[in-house]
Amino acid sequence: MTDEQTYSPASPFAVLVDGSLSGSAVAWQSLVKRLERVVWKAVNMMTTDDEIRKDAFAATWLRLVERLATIREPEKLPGWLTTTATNEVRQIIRQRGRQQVNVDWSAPQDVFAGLLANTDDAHGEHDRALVRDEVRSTVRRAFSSLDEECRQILTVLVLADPPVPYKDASEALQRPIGSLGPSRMRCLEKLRNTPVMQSWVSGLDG
Amino acid sequence: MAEQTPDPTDPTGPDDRINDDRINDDRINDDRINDDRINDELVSALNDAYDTDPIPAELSQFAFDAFAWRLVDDELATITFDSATTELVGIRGTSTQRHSVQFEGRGVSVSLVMSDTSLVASVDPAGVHRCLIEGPQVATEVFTDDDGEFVIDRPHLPLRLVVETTAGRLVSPWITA
Repeated sequence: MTDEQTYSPASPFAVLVDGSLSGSAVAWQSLVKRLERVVWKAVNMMTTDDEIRKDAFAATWLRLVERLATIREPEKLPGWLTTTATNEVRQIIRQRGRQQVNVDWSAPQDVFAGLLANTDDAHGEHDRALVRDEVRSTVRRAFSSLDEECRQILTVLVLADPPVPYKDASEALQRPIGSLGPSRMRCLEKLRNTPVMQSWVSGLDG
Repeated sequence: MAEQTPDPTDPTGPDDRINDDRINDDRINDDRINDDRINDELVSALNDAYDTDPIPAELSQFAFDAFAWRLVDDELATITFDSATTELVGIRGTSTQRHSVQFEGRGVSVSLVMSDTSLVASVDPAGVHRCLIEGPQVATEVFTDDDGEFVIDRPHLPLRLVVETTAGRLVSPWITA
């Protein structure tokens, strides 16, 4: 059987890792195709700086190639990559001494109240798409206003799919395991309390 | 009929207290359920907001090409110190422009210090070692002097250092920041 027949992005992670270790570029490319979105999402959540997210994305794959032989639980790769990507972003920011771009709050802050109501109305598909885009960009602005630690904790503990177990997160983020649950809650609360999300929360109630 | 006015200073009144507690418990439970619901909505909005970014084609290509950098016979060095990770958990670094990394393997230990402008390497035991500075695009050959050191202009990141030892090639982990 050729590599093309043996490996595809749908193959189990363990098969793709073994294939890559034995030198199959097809296995590796399948692994990349399967997981690149996970990495790209993580770096996008950590920074809005185009240069940093590209560098961190690249660094994460170099890191995986380097550590491939040490991956013991291939099914945990999505979480491993998420954690690694967030750490790469933080190290690059730290090393370059670059600060997060200031958040622009100038957009109307009650954007959600009207938007959420509109999505339920019989507007055209085009309008709904515009509304979804607007909601997405507003949520992203709120998230990017959080401090670096909160962005990392929420990216790793909440949005990694499947979520990273606290034990693994504690090791990878070098934080006490008992601090993770409370931090997660605190960071979600911070996000809710940003000015734009406040009106989003009232929109939910209304 | 005159209404019986409760005395607000009366410390007794167990019935009222029980009722108040129940009301408080209910309110706390309602708040918690509402909190969970809002958080669930929040997480789903976050996922939705970040799930759609297209990945630049050159980045996918880089990830494919990264496979060429896997180690087959060379030994991956063990990091013994990295200022970047130390500063993540510790106190914020004051000199953000300096990155110091130490690693070892194949019987040698190596210290790298990168500043804005230079890269200084020091290999122990001292002596002339052939080294390679590898990056995704280029590899540069450089020799340590009798003291086991070299200084070069700071290369682009990411990079890794390959040291040729009598026991074989030692390769540092990628230095990405």
